[in-house]
Amino acid sequence: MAIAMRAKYALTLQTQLALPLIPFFIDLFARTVFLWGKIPWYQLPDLWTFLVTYAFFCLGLMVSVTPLELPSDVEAAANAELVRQRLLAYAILSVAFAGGISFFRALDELFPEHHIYEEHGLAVFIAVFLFGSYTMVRICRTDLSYVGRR
Amino acid sequence: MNELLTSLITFVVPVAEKLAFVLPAFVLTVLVFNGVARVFRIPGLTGDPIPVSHRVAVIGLPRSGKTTLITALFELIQRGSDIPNVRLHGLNTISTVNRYIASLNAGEKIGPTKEKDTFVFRFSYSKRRGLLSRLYDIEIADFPGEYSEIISHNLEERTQVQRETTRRDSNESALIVAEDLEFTLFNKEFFSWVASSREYLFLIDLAAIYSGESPRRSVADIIGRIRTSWQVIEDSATERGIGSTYNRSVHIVFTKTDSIVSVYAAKGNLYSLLEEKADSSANDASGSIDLKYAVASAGSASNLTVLRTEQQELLSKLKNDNDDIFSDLIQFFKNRTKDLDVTYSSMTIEDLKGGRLGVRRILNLCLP
Repeated sequence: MAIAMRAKYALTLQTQLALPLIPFFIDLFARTVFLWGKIPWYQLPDLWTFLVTYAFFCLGLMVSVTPLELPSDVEAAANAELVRQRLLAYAILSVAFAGGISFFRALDELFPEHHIYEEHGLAVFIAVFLFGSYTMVRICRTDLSYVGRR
Repeated sequence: MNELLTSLITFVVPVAEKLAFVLPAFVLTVLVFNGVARVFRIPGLTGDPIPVSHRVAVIGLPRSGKTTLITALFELIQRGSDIPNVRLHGLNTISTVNRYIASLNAGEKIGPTKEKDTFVFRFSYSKRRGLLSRLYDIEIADFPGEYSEIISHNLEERTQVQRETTRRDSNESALIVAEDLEFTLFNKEFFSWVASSREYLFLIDLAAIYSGESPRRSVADIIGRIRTSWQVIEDSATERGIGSTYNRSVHIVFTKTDSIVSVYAAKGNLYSLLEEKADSSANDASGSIDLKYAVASAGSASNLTVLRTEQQELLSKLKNDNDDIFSDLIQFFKNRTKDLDVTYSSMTIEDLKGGRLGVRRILNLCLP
């Protein structure tokens, strides 16, 4: 009965993993609707929101990489642990970048006459894009194969 | 047209300008991270690659040849001709694999796997795709067949098996809580491992099926068990939400093919073993019993050192007939998985490309 209940009402692992990214997409949609044409295109996605949700996504993945139950050699367990550590590192880097962006915005608000965000916003966007795509490729290539294993 | 071009340029040029600055900075950062990770030996961060995990589950009834097949696979892997840059991992894997291969080559029986022998064999290899090479970590678990049997029992039988296990474990002073056992099938050891595997090898022992008292019953029974097993795996995968089983590869492996070659050599066929007519004459009956005896004795052969060649015509006829007999099962998997393969294996028949029949094919199809 307990199993049947879980099967019926539990979210699948994929859904659970995708959940943290949903706020970013909602935010992106809302910003696109309200700010289209009023600000440069690269300022439409809120990079801070993206990085924070991405950090949660990485943490969710990290939790899904479980230690092995069957006896195997030490290195097999070490690989799973390394994947967890790498995902944690991505999460920490994401949050650090988010902090950097927050600081960048604060500077922009402090010295509006310098147009910091307007002039350097694209470079920040590209840096975040590169970080996101590089880590996502690595996650999809390797780390996902460790998710949901026992 | 001009407007489109202008807007495209106004979009691309600033991006390219910034990219020209940011991309080298990003690459430099990654390289510095790599350097730091290598100097301080932090392989997980950006240094040494973490391999892609790939699991192969070998499922079959007791004595269907699981360990023998795994050993034959490792015999081929060790040679390195089919997979370059292969490396076995762990002292246990290395010693067990070599001990088994030595037994196989010495013509000694490997023997059934005991509960205490349950172990995951692991090896890795790198494969080049274009400029990049990828490291794969392959795990093949060797389970005692009794576990495979548990998975395909119905609920009452399962509970009975669990009770027996509890009794046995309590006798051995193992601390297993009854409540835990309620979930044994889905959450513990074999089943969890199976649910997260990428490749499934269902082994069917042809010798055991066609030498039994009622081969038709045996065929129906094994098809039922495998179907149940797959449905349990599907259910377990859905429950844990770890991806559709449709995208996973299933290999139906008919083992001990050599045991039924004698049936065709004696101008018989598998259908004659299946038919059990009540009014069959004494001669027919004794002929069928002789054939079954021949199948059984070939199936329990322990000397697996000598490889013999068989007529391809005979083998293809045998495969056609057997595929037809197991068409229900094949159809079942065709509708439920994207990738199905049917292989016939034998430790004493030589393949067209050399080596043991079917082993190279299984190895090539199982690896990413």
